[in-house]
Amino acid sequence: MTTRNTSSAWPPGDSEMARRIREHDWTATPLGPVEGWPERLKVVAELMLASPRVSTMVVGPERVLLYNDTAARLFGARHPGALGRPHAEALPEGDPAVAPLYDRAFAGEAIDVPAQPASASEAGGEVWDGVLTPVWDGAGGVLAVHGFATEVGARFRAQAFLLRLSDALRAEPDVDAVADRALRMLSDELRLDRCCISLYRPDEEEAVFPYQVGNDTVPPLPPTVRLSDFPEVYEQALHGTFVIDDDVEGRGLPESERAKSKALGMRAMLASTIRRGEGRAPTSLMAVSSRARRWTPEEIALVEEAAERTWAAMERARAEAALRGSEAKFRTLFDAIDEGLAIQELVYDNQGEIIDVIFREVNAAYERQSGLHDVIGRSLFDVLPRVEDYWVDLYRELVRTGRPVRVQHYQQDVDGWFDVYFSPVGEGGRFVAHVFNNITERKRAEAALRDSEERQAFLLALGDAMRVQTSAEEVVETAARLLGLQLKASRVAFGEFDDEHDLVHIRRGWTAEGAETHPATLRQSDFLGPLLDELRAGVTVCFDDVGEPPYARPDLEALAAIGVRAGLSVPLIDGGRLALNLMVHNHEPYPWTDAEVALTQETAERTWAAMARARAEAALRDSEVRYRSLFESMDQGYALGDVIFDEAGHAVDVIYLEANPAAARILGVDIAGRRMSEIADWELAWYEHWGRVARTGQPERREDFANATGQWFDFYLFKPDPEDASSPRVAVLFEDVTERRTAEDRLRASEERFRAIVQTAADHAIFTTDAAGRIETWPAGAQEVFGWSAEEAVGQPVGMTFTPEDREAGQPAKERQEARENGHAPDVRWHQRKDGSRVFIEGMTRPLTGPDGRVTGFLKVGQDVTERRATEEALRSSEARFRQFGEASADVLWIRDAESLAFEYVSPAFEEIYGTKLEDILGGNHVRRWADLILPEDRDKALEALRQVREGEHVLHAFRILRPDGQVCWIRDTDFPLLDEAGRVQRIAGIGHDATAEVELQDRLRVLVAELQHRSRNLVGVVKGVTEKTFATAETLDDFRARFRPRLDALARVNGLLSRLEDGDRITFDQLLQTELQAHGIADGDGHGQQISLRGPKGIRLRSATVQTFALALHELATNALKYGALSKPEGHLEVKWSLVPGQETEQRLRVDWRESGVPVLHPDGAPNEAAINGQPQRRRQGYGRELIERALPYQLKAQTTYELTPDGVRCTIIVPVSSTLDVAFSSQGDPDG
Amino acid sequence: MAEPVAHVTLQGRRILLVEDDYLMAQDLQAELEDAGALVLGPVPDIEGAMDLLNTSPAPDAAVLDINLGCDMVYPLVYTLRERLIRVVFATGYEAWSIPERYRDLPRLEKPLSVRQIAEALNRNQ
Repeated sequence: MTTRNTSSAWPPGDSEMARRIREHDWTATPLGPVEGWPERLKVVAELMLASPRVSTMVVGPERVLLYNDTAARLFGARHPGALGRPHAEALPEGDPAVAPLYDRAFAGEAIDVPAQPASASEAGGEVWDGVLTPVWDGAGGVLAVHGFATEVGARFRAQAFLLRLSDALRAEPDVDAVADRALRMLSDELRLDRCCISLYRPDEEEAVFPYQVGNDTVPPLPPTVRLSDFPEVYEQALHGTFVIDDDVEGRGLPESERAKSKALGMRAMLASTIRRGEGRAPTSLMAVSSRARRWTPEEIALVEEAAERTWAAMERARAEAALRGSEAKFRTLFDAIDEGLAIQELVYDNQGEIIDVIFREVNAAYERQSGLHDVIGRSLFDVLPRVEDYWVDLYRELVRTGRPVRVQHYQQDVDGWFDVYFSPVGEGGRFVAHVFNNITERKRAEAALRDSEERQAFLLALGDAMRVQTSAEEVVETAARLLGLQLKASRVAFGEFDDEHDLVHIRRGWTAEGAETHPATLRQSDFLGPLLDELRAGVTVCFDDVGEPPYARPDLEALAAIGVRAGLSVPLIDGGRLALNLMVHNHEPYPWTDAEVALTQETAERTWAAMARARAEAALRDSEVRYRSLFESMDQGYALGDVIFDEAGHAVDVIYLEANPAAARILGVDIAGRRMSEIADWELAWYEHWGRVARTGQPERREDFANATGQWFDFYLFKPDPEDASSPRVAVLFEDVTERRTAEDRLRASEERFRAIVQTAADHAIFTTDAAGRIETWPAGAQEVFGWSAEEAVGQPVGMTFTPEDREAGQPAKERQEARENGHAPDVRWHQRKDGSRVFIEGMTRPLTGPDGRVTGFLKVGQDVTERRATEEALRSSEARFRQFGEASADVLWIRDAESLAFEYVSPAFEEIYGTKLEDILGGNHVRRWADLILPEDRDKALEALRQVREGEHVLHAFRILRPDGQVCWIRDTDFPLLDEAGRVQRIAGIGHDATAEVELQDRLRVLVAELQHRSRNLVGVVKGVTEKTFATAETLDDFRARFRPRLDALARVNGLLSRLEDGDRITFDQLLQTELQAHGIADGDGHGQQISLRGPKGIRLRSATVQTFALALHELATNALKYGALSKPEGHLEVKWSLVPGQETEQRLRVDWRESGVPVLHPDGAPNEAAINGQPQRRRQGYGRELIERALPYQLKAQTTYELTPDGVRCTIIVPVSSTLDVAFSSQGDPDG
Repeated sequence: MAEPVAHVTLQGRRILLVEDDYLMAQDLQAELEDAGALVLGPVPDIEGAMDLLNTSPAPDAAVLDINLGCDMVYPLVYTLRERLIRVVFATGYEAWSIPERYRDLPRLEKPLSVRQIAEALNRNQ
């Protein structure tokens, strides 16, 4: 619109179509001349012409076509003829498609026409987006329809290309393939001469071209290019898409770079750079053209987009490659581990229930361990049809808790035991991994162990069952049944081989239900063959299957004939020949296990043993029946036993097989079934007797003393079967002859002893006399004791050994008489020796009797105890003295055994001091009984003292005891050890002193001292107080002295009274009053005076704490009375009355009335008109006596007082508490310790 | 006879005086007052002391005779300690005759001087 047009020339503009519309003859058209066109139409037509895009207009009912330059190019050959003609004629190809749209537009609708392919003729494959807009006439009608279209084909193509590109790249397996594919596709799409990916390496100052495609017009780019050669290109490429339409035009590039580009064959170039993050090198996708080329915006956008996608695809490929690498590694690991690993996917239904479990991954070990193959992708229920519901529960639980689960499980599909560890994988419960081990082997081992246990249990049961069977038949039957049941066999039988008759007798056995019974006999020769040979050799025979006909061997055929398909046979060889066999038969083939074979052998062994036992027992029973009554009635012991010899052939023991009751009685124990060595500790000789008889067959009779039992035995050993030299069986008949033997022995021993005593006892006089008392024998002992030689003594009367006094008293005859009558007579008296000295004999006279019982003489036995007696005498008197001493002592004397600490002696003072009877302390444990009396807190110390004394120390200690009467006493014990000759402490002794009084005195003294201090200090305080008071009212020193001295004297008096008090005593009121009045000369010692009358009971006890103040008060009253009151004049009179009056509750009080009369008061003590001095009249100036009465006594004694001055004189009343029984003595007023 | 008060610093101190002996109580009261103290009491027994403690402003300290004639003063010490009132014993007893738990309290031997009391009260303050 640079050319200006005249206003008449419409439409304006110098575009081709503006010119053509201006020049068109519109008169011939339905539109008529331009001048007549509505303004609105013209405006829209001008807009149409001005549009750079395809813009058209159809006007009026005829739909006359107008269009702009862009549309003109689109119309191709239809242009310019199309202008001004109805649309249907102008564009006949497109009209049918667009006519209905125009209809709607003319009806007033604006229509969007997306992606409309243009008329095929004009624009092959181009695609348009169009808009049809009605042009209103202003009166409600539509003048024309304006059409506007944008070509969108390039965009579509670009999008289609990018879609293809993405699909293609996704399919490429690796980075190189991705890059190569992308470059080729882009190159084809944009008809490029070269297309490459460049990587910039700023650190190395270079760019590399790892990927490039292209044709000959642009030679391949060098692998690297120096960035310094293209500084500007690089700079610009980094900051955005770098575009060169034509290197001649450049982009402000320096000449050098343009030249270098050109040298590389580039004319036009487009580079889209991608930068991802600071740390990563930028990458460009470069499109290169060998000719100048104007890049359209669509092309630029396409390259940029392609660069993005290519880069993304390369990244993905790189990641996938890495992932594949990692997967490969994982896979290797996965397959390498020994545990079976499987990952399963859980499939849920709509309700969230697990309906299937699919194997997704398994490792090599899984297949090996599980025995399952090709499971991936298959359902668990398909792979393991017999999988239990419990697995599904397990999966459900696993998913619910998210926690791993370990189970041990037997899977019957694969006949294996598995230890499985399940664990959820990832979130959402979709995958489950399980790791498992085939532990079948381990389980089998455990099962084997269980087998062995089962075997033990079986054998135990077998043993128990067989033990109760008494016959061989029952044993066999029991064993057969148990074994058959255990092995689940068809039958079990025992065969007895009868070689003589070529037979095998089948003993009672056991047959399973429904199994064939065994024939009663078999012919041995039918079974000749390896099996029987082995049996005869003592070897257990075992066959799993005899096979099918025809049989390999006749013995197998014979077995099959009796219904045996599989069998076990255990032989018993007895005496070198096959005697018995135990057979286990199965009707079906059966693989015997070693355990089963072993079990059968064990059973056979035990059965043989049990059969033997049963047979032996049966034989024994027979024998017993015959001999029992004989044995049991016999007094003699009987026993039958087998001698046991050691390797050297020495008999070492005997097993008693049977014995009768007498044997048990004699030996004190039942011996049947026991060994001789168990009965007692016999000397070897005893076994040798048995052994000799067993060996020689020669019976032996002996009488021997057995140290082992302390018995004499008379026994007869013999062989029941003397012919059988090899039999160790020996029988014995025996008796206990101890009594007989010991009686004989005693006699012999006694004779010997007698002889020995008589001949050797030097201090024993043993001699005999005849019936008349004449000495018959006089051995050395008698000679020694009495001094006479045998010659001198024999034939003399025994009386010569008696003292003359005894002789005169007829003692010798009396003694004989007594011995005759009593069988003995004591002879304990002084005797006389040859030299006249005396000897004390302790002895006995016994009668000696002849075979007819007559007394033939006497035996005198006596011991010279003179010396011992003297010693004992001395000791006794010493003891007696000591005892007297101990018994007289007020202290406890005691002696204890040092070892046991038991009292050996306690003097009677114990009872006094401890308040405890001696018999109470001397029973049981002496130490404990004694210690129980001690106060617990002192007990340890007292016991420790005992220990110290036992160690040899002297100890002085004190402790308290609690006497049973409740009194606590202090005991001071002086303890010391008593040593034996070797200096060992044999006894300990002590003297216990009751120190209670002393300790109490000490305590009391302490209290007294404390009290004395208290009192004296108090007294000083009181004196100080009196001094101050006196001083305060004294006018001169003389005045002070005059007042002070009497007060001090009064204090001294009352303290004198106090100090003379005995414990518990109190000062009485009359005492106090009298003392005071006496001191003033008012009264005499008896309380009489001319001007006074004292009336009141004596002995009213005052509280000690009150007396001092009370005394001072009385002193002041008396002083005043003397100075100013009733006693100051002869006509005055003083009356003091006192009595007990009731106080509070039960308390009694002393009431004192002090009445003065006859003298008017000169010095009214404390009168109210007394002048006040220095402002404190009450304290300073009040009369001292009155103050004491009115203030001090109430203050200190809780006294009630009155003090009046009457015209007649002073009247004073004092009521004070008195000492009650509860009032304690001053010495313990208040307990300083409490 | 009054102590020189120059060094005695009991000015304005409230002191409870418990002493059963009237003469000594009077004497001590006079001396304490001369030294500037405000004497609460004197009272001869625990009862009287408790009455004073419950009706008057709390004293700063208490001077207690141990043996109050019929009673020992100790129960009062407990109350005073509870109320954080300083206690000084005035007694004729030796220290060993005072119960263990009260031995840490200052003990002045009779006859007392105000100086001793002041020193005892000022100690450890």
